[in-house]
Amino acid sequence: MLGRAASGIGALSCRVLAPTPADLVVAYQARGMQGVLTGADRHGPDAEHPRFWRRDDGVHVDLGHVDEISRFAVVARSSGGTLVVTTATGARIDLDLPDDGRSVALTGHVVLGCLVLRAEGRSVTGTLRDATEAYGYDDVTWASPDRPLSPSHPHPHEGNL
Amino acid sequence: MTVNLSKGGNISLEKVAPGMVHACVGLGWDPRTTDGSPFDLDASAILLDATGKAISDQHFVFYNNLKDPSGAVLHQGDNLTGVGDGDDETINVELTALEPAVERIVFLASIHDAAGRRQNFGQVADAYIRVYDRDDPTNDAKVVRFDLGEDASTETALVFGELYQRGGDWKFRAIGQGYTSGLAGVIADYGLNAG
Repeated sequence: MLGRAASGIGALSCRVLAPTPADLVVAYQARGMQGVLTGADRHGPDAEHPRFWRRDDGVHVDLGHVDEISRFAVVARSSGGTLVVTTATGARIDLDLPDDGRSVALTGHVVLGCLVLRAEGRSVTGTLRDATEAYGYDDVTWASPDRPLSPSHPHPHEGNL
Repeated sequence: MTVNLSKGGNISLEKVAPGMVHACVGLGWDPRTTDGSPFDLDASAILLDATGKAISDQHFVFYNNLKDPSGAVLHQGDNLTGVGDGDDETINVELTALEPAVERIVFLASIHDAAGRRQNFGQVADAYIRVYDRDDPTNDAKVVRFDLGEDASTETALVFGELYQRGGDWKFRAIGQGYTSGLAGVIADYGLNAG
């Protein structure tokens, strides 16, 4: 569990160190809605006010607006390697990834402004939809079992809720 | 008439506003127009002990922790854009309710996701901090103000000023100290273990 300072500054960054290319996906619940950020997406829930985004070095969670985030799960598809999770304030967690296939590596929950991280390390079979639904992300719209649709949701500060 | 301080200057709040109990600390800024990402600046306060270090993680008052354990320092919330006149963010300080261990309170502003958005205080104009009496907010004679000028360039966080105790009185000092390491760098400098 991170303190309020570490939970609210900069970004939580997740990247994979592995001998072969790996893929990271983030299922999230933010602003009361659910979505899944896959390799096809750069931002979630939207590009204008992203709270989750992808860069070449991995996926990132915007902790500067942690009050808008309820929870997330990081899903990795890799052949071994390590998921490296860092905060802007220097904390680091290393998680071993399974040798083959897809796993839910890490979950995060925001509790009273503090981010609680949990190493899951759970290999999953089936589709991406199966994996995320197993962790309660069952309010996502899917074009196919491995292709979620980007959610569309007004930003709370625009007063359109 | 408002008392204007220059960088490094200080003044007793008792001289500015005799008997002040409820101090309001307002910070303001105007992001210059850019065609890039919008600016999101955040004000924070760190409550320090006699050694100049933060008393605890809970004594860092910012958008994710809006008050200190005593409730004497209260952040009024995040302004996401900096658009508009007047103070962009305000932090209230009830001077008589502060914990005895609090010797100084530093006030700062930082740019959210400065590295990702390639932003710095060189792109911010008219930054200032002012302290006034919440029980007499329209009395300009009870205001002390520091305009930070245009000195900043690559900094991503700025300590605007501080309240500090001296001889039983609370005083305000204009600081204007910049950091290129953002909010994380500032709080590390004040001894916060935020890892």
